[in-house]
Amino acid sequence: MKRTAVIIVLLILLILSAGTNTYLYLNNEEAMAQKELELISMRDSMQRELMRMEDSLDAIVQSLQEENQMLANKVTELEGDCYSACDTVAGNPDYLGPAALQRAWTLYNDVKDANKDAILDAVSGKGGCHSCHSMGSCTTYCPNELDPLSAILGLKRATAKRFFGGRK
Amino acid sequence: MSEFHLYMAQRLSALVMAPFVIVHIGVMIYAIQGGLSAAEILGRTQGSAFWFAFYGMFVVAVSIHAAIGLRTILGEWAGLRGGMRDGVSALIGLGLFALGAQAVWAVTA
Repeated sequence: MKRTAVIIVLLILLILSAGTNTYLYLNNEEAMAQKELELISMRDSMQRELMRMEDSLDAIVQSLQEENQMLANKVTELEGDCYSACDTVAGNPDYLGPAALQRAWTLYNDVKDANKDAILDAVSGKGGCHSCHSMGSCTTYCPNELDPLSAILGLKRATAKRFFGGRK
Repeated sequence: MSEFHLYMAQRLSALVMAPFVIVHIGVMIYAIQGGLSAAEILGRTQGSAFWFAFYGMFVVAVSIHAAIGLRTILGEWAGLRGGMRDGVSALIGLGLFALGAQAVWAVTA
């Protein structure tokens, strides 16, 4: 009798323990799923953050490259081979010359420079870009492989477009 | 008139002249077939409003275009500056217009 009671108690305990374990197991499953969701959202936000950082790095690299190009242009201006190669410079003392006009074209295309009209005004006066005869010695003799001839043609085109009321 | 406006005037007058030159040369080639005589030319042009307008506009465009081009040459090659250069080129433009207008009037009136 006593033995039967002990077996029953043990059986009850066994069932209870199995039930508890099942409960704990299911609960754990839910918690794991929750955790996984949290991990996924964390990963996504980190990826977003990384992409943002990449974008700003790209912007920095681009502005550095532009800065570099502008410095290269400045060096060319100081060298002045295009200026001395130009026949219009020789014949027209008012002419600004290919180096300055190349610089103006660089500034005109610089995203950081908002006042494009002022640049076009500056190259439209006496001895401005319209004095150029497109002979192209500046481009032929440029030591830095720049193309002042095309830069000056670009300025002429931009001023003509502005004259007809168009924009770049 | 600024340098830029002179530049635009010269380009626009060139634009006007391009078809005129083609028609002018085309008619010349057509007109000399079978000999050339003053009577034949005058027969075509006299009293013609079309040829008056055609050569009238042509003369205006030529006077503008040539005067601006010569103004550049006077500056860069002959070394003229300022008012002297502007005055001489304006006279050339007016002279071309006067001669051209006289010729147009003579053959179309």
